[in-house]
Amino acid sequence: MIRTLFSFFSSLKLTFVLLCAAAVLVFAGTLAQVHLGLYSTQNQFFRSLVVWWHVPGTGWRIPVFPGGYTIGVLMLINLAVAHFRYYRAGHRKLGVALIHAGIVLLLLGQFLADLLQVETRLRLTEGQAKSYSENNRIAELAVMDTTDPATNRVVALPASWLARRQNMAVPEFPLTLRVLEHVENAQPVLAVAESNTVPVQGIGRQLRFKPQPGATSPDAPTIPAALLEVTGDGVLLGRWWVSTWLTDERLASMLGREAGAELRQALARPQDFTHAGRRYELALRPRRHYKPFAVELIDFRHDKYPGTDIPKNFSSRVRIRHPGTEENREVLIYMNHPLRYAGETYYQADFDPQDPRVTVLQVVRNPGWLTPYVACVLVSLGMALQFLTRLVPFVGTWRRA
Amino acid sequence: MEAGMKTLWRMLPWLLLALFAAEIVAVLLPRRDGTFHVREWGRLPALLNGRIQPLDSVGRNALLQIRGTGDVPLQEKKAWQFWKHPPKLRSFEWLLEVMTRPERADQRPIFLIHHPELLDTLDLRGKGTARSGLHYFACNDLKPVLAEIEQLGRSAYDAPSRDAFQKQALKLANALNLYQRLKHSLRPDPGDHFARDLADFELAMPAGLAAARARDQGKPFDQAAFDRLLGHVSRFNEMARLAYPLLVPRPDAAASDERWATMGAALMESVRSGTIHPAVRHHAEMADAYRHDRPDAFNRALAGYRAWLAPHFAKEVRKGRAEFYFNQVKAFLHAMIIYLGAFLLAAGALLTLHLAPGLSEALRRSAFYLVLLAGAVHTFGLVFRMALEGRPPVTNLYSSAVFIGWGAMVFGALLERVFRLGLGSAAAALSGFLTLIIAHNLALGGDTMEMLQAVLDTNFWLTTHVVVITLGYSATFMAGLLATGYILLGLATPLLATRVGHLNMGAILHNMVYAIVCFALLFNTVGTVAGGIWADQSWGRFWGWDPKENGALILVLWNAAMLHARRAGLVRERGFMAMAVFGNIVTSFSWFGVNMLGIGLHSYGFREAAFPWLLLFVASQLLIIGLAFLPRPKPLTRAFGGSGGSD
Amino acid sequence: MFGRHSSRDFVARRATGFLVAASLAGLAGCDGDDVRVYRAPKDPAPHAASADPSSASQPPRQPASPSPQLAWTAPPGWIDKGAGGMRAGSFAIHGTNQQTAEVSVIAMQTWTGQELGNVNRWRGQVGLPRLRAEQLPQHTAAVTIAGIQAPLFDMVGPAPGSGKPTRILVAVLPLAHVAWYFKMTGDDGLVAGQKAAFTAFLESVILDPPTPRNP
Repeated sequence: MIRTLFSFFSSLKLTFVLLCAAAVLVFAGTLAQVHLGLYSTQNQFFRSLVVWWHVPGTGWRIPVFPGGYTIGVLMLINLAVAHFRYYRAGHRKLGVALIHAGIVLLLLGQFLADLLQVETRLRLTEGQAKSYSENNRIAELAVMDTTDPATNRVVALPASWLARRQNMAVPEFPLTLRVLEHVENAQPVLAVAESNTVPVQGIGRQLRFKPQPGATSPDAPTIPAALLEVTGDGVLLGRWWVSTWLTDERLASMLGREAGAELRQALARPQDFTHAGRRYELALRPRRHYKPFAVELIDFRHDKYPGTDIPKNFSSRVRIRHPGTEENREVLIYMNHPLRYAGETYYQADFDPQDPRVTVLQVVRNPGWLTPYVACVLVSLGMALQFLTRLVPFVGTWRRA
Repeated sequence: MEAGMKTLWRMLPWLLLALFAAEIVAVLLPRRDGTFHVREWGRLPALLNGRIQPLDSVGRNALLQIRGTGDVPLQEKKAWQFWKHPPKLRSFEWLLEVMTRPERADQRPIFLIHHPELLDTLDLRGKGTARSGLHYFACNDLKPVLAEIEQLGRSAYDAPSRDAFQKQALKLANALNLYQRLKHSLRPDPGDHFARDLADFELAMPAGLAAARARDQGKPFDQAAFDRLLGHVSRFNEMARLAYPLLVPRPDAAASDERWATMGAALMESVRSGTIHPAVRHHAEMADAYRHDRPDAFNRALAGYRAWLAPHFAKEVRKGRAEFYFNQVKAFLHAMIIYLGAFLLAAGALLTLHLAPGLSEALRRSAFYLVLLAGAVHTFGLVFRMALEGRPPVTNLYSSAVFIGWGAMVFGALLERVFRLGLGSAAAALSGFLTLIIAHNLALGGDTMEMLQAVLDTNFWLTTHVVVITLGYSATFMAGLLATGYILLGLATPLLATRVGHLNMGAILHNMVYAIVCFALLFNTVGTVAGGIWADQSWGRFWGWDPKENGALILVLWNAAMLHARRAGLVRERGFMAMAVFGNIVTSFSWFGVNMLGIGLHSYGFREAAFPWLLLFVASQLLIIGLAFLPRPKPLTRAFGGSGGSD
Repeated sequence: MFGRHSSRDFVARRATGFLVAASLAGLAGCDGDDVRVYRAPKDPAPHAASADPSSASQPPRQPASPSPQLAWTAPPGWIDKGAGGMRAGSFAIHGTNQQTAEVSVIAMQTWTGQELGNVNRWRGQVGLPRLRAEQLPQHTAAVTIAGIQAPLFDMVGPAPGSGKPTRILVAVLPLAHVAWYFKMTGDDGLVAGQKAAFTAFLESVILDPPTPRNP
């Protein structure tokens, strides 16, 4: 039994089948991007055990192909087991062994990245400093006690809770929230006085949110909104509309541009209230990742080739201030030159076409970022070795013949 | 007689080499100018697309976008009459005509329209000129329907997906727009005496500006002086709005991105500064002299301008001259012709292997020499281009085609050096020829030396990732081509069974393909991993399942699958060859196909027009794979005394 | 003082059954469905500039069309596609059964002397026979644009190629140095239904508005 398993998992036939299956999967996953978009394709094809086919018109799904994880794991097993079956000590096999070791490392590194990598964004206007980056795909409902003049006490509730429409007693605070309305992907509309709806505080006096019509691109992050009723110790404190439209700076500036002066002022005001002598604030916002240091944008440049609109370079000059370590230094982040700091990497990712002073940095935390570099060295070394030991003698024999 | 033949066979390769080399030398020699020093004008530097280029390139790239050719033929000839060289308007001559004598340029049939519905919609049936079965229209033919074309182009531009009609409408609207901009790039139109207008403008300025200031302040002002200046300014303003290339160098500019300006912008600048830029005067003199057919005045004005340019813009002038030379030499076109010759000779060598071994050897040597000559010309072009751009050889789809051909040529020549059978030469020549044809068609989009998007602006990663992966494509194509040769030879001739040395030809081809596939795997893997590292540097992730990344990965997987299948004994000679041919499909998908999806970070090289060709290519490769499994012509094999099928 | 992560469920959900996950789960620091409680520094007051778009960004887009300028009020249901190129404005209209129509406003150098050629070209686009000069008046209706009498042409027929019944409405406002062409093209049923809206649109046109048009 074990012998059969061993010979199955170590066989080159399995290698061949896996390589072909991987090629087919990658091919299908590339074509699927045209309709599904990159994000859902990745989840359905590559970050999955099985690729499902949803039978149109029914709720059925049928497994049609092994997913990326299945193929990847089988490849790892195959590589490891085959090593014991085929490897013989000596320089002739060393090249192949190195190549395969590199590939194992590459695969493991990518699994690691898939599991542990966290991607967030840091949007800064010149002169602005932030000590957090944001995840635009996941929203959180932040309930903040802003009484203390120095810091806020934050309770961040996952936005997925809104969809369940349950009452929620806010931990740590004497507040209870009730979801009156929840819009998964919202668009703002000007509020009109409607006598039959409940009175609303804050921005809800000017704006309401309704579902976006039509199909949106599957790759675009959704923009949630909700109407919340807040009670404190059994007393109704008010109702507020919250949405990432108000807190995601890109969306908020879009909204601000279209709005009149009155609405713009209302948008700038926090949605807050007082209960039992303490001041609270509500915000549905992109999930924040706070850091023990602050990043300030000093200067953002967007150079173009003279006489054209072709971008030549984007660069952000930032200052890092770390109160813990007294660190205070300037760094230039530009294309192909990210900043690696405190286990995270900051990349020049985007800019705001409407505002030349805004930069968007991608912030990636990936503990395995070095693995591809090591793998690359191993594979290159192995291949070089293989060529020296195999091809050169091969040509030599032919020339002598 | 026998000895005579032997001498002839020995001499033949050298004779052929000398013949083609002489042609190349003739091409490389510089040409003289005519009465008007138009070539010299074509060498003048200008700034366009963010780079310094000669006026010749401005005209050539505009013509490529408008007419799909680099110059304007003045007489029709049949496509096969290659010995005829009918008179034609070269790109720089055409540009000078458009800029200075638009009434004549408006009569040149250069706008290609072939969609019947578009011809009907614009009511153009029976107008225009037919050349080689295609309908070309002059600007004059299109003048009554300009607004209609603009509107059709607009709605095509807005359409989420375009059909053939809309594509052509958009192309036509773009071509007309480009043409109009060129017309307003050098001198105001209409207007006969630009230099005299400039002088009058200069005279009118003090009084006119004073009047304008008074008018702004609500004081009484000199209406006549104001109107006189306004007449000029409104025409210059039109130029500033439309002008295309930046013709005016400004040695005194404060910032480096203000060193060049369009004529219109420079003239509007004069309104502010009160003085006229010297380069503007030079351009005006040249324009007037050419417009009024005065060669001496033109040549004098040109010499004056060059003398003025020399001290401040030596680098730009050199760049202009060098690129002009590169444009005129057409190295890739000549390499293509020699490759074709070399391929025919190599094919002849293979076919006469049995019948006339002496002749076959002579042809094989000739083919090899010609491959080397074509390779030298190809390399010359490639290196010249690299020097012009200051970049590694591959920066866009066009240059990747040129480089794939170059890589295949090197692989083929190396194989020929080792195996001496004519197979390497044939494959090198054929792939060189085909890739240069593809490159030629890709160049029809316009400027092939455009500036690189910010993320690509790094020579280090272009070299380590792009060049290596392109070599990988090159090697995979080479393997596929040799395998195709194996399959077709096996089907049509008894050659595969022929013994050469201790192996038969089939086994030798098998070895060749195996070696090349090993190379392909090496380059593809290293290139793909390097690409991942580049992506990690610039986008923050090693692998993002972007279509182009996926294309490269599929290629790596396929190469690896081939080697493992061979190692596991799953395929033998024929199966391995069929897999190598399938590698062609994989490579073409990775190289071209993913760009056609129009998604992802690499969609910069989008070429929709090539899609039918890609499908045709895939179909042909599948057919060849099918042919690989047909039974071989046994009787023939026996008749030639071969040892039968080899697998 | 800062973030305190306690999430594990993300990894578990993503990689159920995946071998390596078990050993890695402890390391995870991913985003997920957990409640987090922490102290955070206060956000600085909203950046003055980012709150006030009037001071930010580029100058407003210059309309590409020649003077004099026009302003208008679009009927309900017309989707504004904006100006650009030769167009001073354009709209898309979507009807039932996937019927579509588009409206464009274009400034041209002239109208006088080109009436017949233009009308015949439009007629060709809906498969109608050419007119002779003396027939033109019979096919011309009148409409008011910006208080000025202007010709209106209404043509319907099968589009060459597709054969779909297609209707074109064109009104032309010839001024001294420029002629404004208002054109509606699309499926016959939809355009016929929108003719009243088109006429209302034409009547809403104002020449030389005092302030730039607000989209």
